[in-house]
Amino acid sequence: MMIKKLAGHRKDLLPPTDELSEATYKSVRLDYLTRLPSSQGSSGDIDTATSLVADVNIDEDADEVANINTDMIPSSNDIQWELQRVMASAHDGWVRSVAMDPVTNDWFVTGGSDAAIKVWDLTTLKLKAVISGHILGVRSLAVSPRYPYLFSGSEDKTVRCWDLERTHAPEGCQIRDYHGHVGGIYTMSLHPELDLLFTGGRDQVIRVWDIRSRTEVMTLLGHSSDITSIESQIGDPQIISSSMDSTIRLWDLRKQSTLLTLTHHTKSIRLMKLHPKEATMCSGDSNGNFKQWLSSPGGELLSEFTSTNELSRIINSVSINPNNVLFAGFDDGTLEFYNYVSGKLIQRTKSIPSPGSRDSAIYDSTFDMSGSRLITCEGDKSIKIWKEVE
Amino acid sequence: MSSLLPKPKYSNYEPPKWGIYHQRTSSSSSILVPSLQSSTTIIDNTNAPKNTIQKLHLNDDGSINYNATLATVNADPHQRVQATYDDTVSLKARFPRLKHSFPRYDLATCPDDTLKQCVIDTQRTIDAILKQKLGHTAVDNDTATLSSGTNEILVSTYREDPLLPPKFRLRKNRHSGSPSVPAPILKKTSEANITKEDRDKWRIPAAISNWKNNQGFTISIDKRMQAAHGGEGSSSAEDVNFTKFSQVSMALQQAETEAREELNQKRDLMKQLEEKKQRERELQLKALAEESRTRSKRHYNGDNTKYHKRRHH
Repeated sequence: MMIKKLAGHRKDLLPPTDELSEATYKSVRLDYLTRLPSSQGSSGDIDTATSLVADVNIDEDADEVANINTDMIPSSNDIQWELQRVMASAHDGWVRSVAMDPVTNDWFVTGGSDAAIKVWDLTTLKLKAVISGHILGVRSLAVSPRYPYLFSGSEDKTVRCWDLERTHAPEGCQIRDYHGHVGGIYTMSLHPELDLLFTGGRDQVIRVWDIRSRTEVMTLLGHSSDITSIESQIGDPQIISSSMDSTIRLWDLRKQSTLLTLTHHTKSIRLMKLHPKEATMCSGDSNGNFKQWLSSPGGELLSEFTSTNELSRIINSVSINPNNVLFAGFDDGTLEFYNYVSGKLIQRTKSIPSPGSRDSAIYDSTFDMSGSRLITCEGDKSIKIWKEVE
Repeated sequence: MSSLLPKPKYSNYEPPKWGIYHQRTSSSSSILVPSLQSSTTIIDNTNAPKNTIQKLHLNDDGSINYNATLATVNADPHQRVQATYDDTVSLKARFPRLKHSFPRYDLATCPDDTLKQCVIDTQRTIDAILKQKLGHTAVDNDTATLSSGTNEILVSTYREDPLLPPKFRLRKNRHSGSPSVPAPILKKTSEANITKEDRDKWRIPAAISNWKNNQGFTISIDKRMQAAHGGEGSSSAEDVNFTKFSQVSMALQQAETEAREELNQKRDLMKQLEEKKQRERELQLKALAEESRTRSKRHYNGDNTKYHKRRHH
């Protein structure tokens, strides 16, 4: 049937004799899993796949076959990281969320348990603006790459939109709010192309908002516990969400339904992040397990590794560098840097808590757009900036 | 549904094989088909009774793939399901020479127009939902005129401040539970039984306060010690120095009795002083009364005519 058809196609495309090992051969085929951004049904799917494979130049040399796109990704092997600056008592409470400006890379915003949102300059680390309006802690932030808007979600169940061009206006800069959540908002994401905002949190559903009209366009049901992170990309699956019910769900936005549920994790997932350049993602659970996935509709498990941190196994925060550095922040303040490709531990340090606090759990972290600085938000009310050792 | 049950353990019954047999050859010249879900055969179970499963997923050898079949009962039969052992093994473990190259495409770099099509389709879906939810487009939302005969009625929507706080407070989560069949669970179960140490690690001791004991329970020393140290660290009976502890308690008791005695003495003394003072005051009063009595008698005897006169007139 379908398989036979595919086999027939393939026979024409490939040279009659090839000496590739089976593994390499399979890895060549894997490429089309990632090159297939959308899939509607089954048969059409396979056809496009074969047509895509046609332009992959299969050579005698096995390495060349696999190296098609490796020059795109620079690899920084085993560069150590060091603390550059501590912004002590940046907030009056735990610093719970951070977002980098994706366009200019000049400033970042942090949200804390003191319900304030603060805008900081990345180079001088000076406070540029304080945005107040939330009643409870700010748990998630998103800066729009196309509008001068900042979106924030809070434990007070509100999602708000702020105009960053009017942060010093006496009447405040809030321009919209998105009403509908019945629980605290823990995470949010913006669609890269469309004017859509995805929010999720305590009430176990992902809500899709039309940014302009403030309408709740869709409600995606399926998770059975708090939603901890939402990631969005252009092709299918357009939304990927992780939850405290220890599952990851890939969503089909057009059908408003779950495309695939990944049930490999044994404990609740506190964070999942997409790689900024690759079509892969990484999730970390509360048992110290990292799992990397392809962010294709198949959701294949790419690799898995476990942290050997003995003190705490709870991964609070994960960030991925464009230079393939995976950062993991633990609940006890341990920082771990991994090589994203090999899963090898590069460095493990512990964040020293500011005087007056016992522990500094790392609640959120982000690399800047170039990947040379790491910003961590900690439980000792401080923001810490880390840089690569020269 | 009965046809989906596996074959009984020791029966000669051979379950019906559906579809075609696909032979896999391991020679390198043959084409290997990726083991995607979409490549498994799906057949219609149309002549089955109404309440049975309509779509059956078949394995390569023609037997029924129960996992995939059950996982897509209520959903689209072409939906991908991770239900096999292979799905639990990571790609890098399965293919050790796999090169890490999974580029992300955006609209500009995508080799075909699938991404563009996806975005357009999504936009169309969203637009349709928005139109349905908002009723009208923004232009004709403001005013609408209904003309019936000679009368013309102008219907205009009430303009609202978009920054007003929401009128309704949402309290209850109306959306709970999954609408679809639960996905097959692909995780290792913990094979080891929980040991007593593990259980003890999770045991949370009852809260003890050194300040509040409303019911007046007797609290052992080690628990008090533990509470005094903020509930941290284990303190067994050996950690408590009983001789010193008894010395301290004896000393405390002695000090208390001494203090009480002293207090009693002081109180007695005070009482005596008070009584003495009282007695003195009484004597003084008595003397005063005596004196006044004698004085009045003298006065009465000295000139009493006036008094008499007034009385008799």
